[in-house]
Amino acid sequence: MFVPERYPLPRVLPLVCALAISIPSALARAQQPAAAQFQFTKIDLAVLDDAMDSDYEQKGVVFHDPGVQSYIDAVGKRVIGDRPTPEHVTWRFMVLNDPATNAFAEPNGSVYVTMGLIALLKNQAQLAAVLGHETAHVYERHTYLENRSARKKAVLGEILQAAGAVAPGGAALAVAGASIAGQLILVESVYGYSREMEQQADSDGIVAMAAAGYDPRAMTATFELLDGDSTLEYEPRPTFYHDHPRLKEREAAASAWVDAHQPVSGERGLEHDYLTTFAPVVAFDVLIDIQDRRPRTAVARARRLVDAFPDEAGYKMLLGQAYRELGAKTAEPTADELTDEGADRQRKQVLKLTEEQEQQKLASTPEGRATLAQNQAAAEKLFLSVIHDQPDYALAYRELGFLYEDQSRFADAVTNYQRFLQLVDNTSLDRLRIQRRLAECQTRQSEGGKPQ
Amino acid sequence: MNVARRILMASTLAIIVTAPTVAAHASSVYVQRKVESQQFPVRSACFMPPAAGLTKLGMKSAERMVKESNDWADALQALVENHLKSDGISVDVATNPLTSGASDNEIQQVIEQIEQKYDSVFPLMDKKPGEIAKSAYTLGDQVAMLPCAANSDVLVFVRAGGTVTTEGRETFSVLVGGPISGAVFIVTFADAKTGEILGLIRLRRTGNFLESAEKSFGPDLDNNLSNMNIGSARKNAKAGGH
Repeated sequence: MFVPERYPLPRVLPLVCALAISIPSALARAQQPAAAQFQFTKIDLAVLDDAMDSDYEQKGVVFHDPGVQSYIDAVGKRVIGDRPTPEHVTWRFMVLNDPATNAFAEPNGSVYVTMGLIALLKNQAQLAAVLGHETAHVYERHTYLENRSARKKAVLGEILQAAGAVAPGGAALAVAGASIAGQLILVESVYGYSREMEQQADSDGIVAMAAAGYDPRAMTATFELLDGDSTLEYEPRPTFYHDHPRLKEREAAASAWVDAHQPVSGERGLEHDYLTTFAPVVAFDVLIDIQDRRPRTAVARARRLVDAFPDEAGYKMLLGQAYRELGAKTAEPTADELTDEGADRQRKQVLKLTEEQEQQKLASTPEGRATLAQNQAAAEKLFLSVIHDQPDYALAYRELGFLYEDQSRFADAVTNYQRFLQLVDNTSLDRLRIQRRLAECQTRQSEGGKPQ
Repeated sequence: MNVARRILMASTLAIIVTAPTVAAHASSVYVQRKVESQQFPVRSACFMPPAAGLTKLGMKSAERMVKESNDWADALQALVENHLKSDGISVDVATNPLTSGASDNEIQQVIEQIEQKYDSVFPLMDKKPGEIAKSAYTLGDQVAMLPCAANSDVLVFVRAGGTVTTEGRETFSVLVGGPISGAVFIVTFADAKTGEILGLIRLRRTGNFLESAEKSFGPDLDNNLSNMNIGSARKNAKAGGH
């Protein structure tokens, strides 16, 4: 588990004080955005294009759901309020199919919130805090300013890919550059601007959300959530929204703003309403987390869905799958993992071992075996509960089959795979795989159930 | 300091130090014995959607080449397809529903999950490619959910990243050091039934690699496919001196 260096308090305090002082001027800026005076140069216009938006659409990584879209559009518009739209900006708010907790804005006004972040937030006001921050980057023209004043830094970002392309051992970086996450590496806005610009976006953002009638304390709560989430898994590509010291600073600054503007009030929105809208996003995020070696995140997100909608079989299935994926790993970081040394060991483990090797290593200890048994029992209970409520729920039999196969209970696996195949029609994409697994389990069963 | 930035700086240093000494062409191949020995013959392949990223690098600026990246990705996939086809290997694409009756949306969701798994496995595989021979990496048997997997021996992943430098940057880099035009092109083969990674070809180029995919990568791709023994006719032809 990666825990970055913690900033000592004396280093944070001046920042908090500076921010508290600067907020009134931020309020003025939010009402009369700097964008109005922005003079475009040829260099700025070169940065401005819609290519990234088209690319995301073409690659099918934008989450399309009418309910989700109208909700995020409504929150985005409310945060913008009646401020004039800056030149060369068309506001668009979108959810990106990316499990990382992140959000970013293109200078053309396209604001992306990843499904990982959507799945973490608890209410509308917290989403407003994120959108307030990101729209502030657009109002303040941060991409252009950063591009102008620190072009060498921008070049540095591109060198990453060049390094990956030609430097020995750097191929992973170049290939990452080809994937969605990798493309994001190339966009500075995605990984965070300078500290000053981020502070400005936070202060402008909190003003904008408060002006829109949202409870500004939601911004502090958002940073707390992000900070707690940042310890859950080792993140090989941490973003600005996953940076512990910065999150602590941001949390302190937002609290300072709230303290300076007491009494504060405003709408937060109910968590249940938020989850009702975003449940499809959270559910897909759980599936992707499972693929992306983030089983703890998958468990945490699926648990939220089950708690909010206890009768929904699909969410129990997701939680069961997440527990199975967790294997010999604990659902929460251990005390050791939260120490710097433990975090370093965790980091090395993720970087050096495959998921299967990591599981084998964990399961080689008594604690690991006990955790594995607990997680498997939790998964089994969930699958059986779904079958109890809906005896024809095919996926529950498939997942039970997987679980029993993991446990070398081949006879039970056979029974459940057979039931799955009886229940699904011929168009099921999973038919062939389960037929193969069934045949394999039958062979093992006939051999006396010995594990391979 | 942010880890991403740490990697960024390390990589920058790496290229400044190494770029002038990197050979114009370099390639490496990793393969499981069962493929090499033809115990696992490859007669059919299903292509996952290709992905490539290109960046134009000037003296003071860098820009994303989104459209060119997509065109390049398509060109590289066509290159691999042609090389496999020329050796009698039938090819298909993962998005093809065939007779499965599945909707495009269902297939897209499966593709995204498999791609996510690949992206999650890739960094370690790239760091320790030798482990491929020991069957260390797998995408899981969920790959069999793709309709094309039923009729294919392998899934093929085409990935590439490249940097195109302007003339000014190129000259500066040659004189002082720094990034030059270059690309890395990676083709990964996975068992279409079990998801096990069977082999990987990694090709590196410097110079004008965009002019022709065939010219830049074709001969080395062919050699490496031969070394993997994917397309035995090619290897036999080579052995026979053709």
